[in-house]
Amino acid sequence: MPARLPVEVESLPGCTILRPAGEIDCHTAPEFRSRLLAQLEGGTASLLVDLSGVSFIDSSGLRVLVECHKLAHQSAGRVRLFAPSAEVGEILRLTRLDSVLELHPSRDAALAQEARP
Amino acid sequence: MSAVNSAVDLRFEMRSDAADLSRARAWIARVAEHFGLEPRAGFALKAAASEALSNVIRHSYGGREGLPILLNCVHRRGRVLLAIRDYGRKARGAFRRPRPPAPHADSAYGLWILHCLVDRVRVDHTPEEGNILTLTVNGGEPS
Repeated sequence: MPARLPVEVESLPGCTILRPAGEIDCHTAPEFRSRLLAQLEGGTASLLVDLSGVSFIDSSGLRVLVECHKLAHQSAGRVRLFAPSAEVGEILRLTRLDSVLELHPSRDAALAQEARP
Repeated sequence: MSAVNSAVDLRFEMRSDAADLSRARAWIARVAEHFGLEPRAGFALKAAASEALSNVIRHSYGGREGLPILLNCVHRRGRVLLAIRDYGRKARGAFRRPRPPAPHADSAYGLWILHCLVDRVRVDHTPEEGNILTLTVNGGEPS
């Protein structure tokens, strides 16, 4: 059975980038959650989520991002988001999560932040 | 933006299954374009309706799958009205505007998004017709 939400994984020195593609709603959020949690529970301290391929996100997806953000912080790790579409960015702004989650406009900006001591 | 005159069925039926949400959103996007809504308003209607439909599945139908949800969209007096009908538990205050979600909140995002995005939210219930949630966005033009 094809994945409800394909998620590419790219491992870089010191961090891992996850690249979900498609719509994140209450149908696909459980799969998104399991992919993120698998990385965090597997010891990834710094997780970057490339949102450029996410065409839609609802409150289920937001809850996953908040949960993973909290989980990463508990183990001194980080979750960084980057390259949201205008629509995904608007949902993050409306819910004020743009000031809670670490959000960057591009991959380069997120990786630059990652490289800081 | 002018209304697109392509034929669009203004009624849509789905089941109380989260797998149907994507199909419903695609239909709402087509209807929004049909009524000539600006892209931002079309997105607002789609995203608000998606939250409403998730609520209907989860709360009104208590997570039971396969039950009917009927959508109907009209343009009236400068506004687009999307009606979402279900036959589950009485909605009562289920769609009341919530307080803004607290930072790091685990819930309450859905209703907040819904109320932020549309211009009006109305809930009606009768034993015969079930719950009817009407989302209104200003704009568009009659088809």
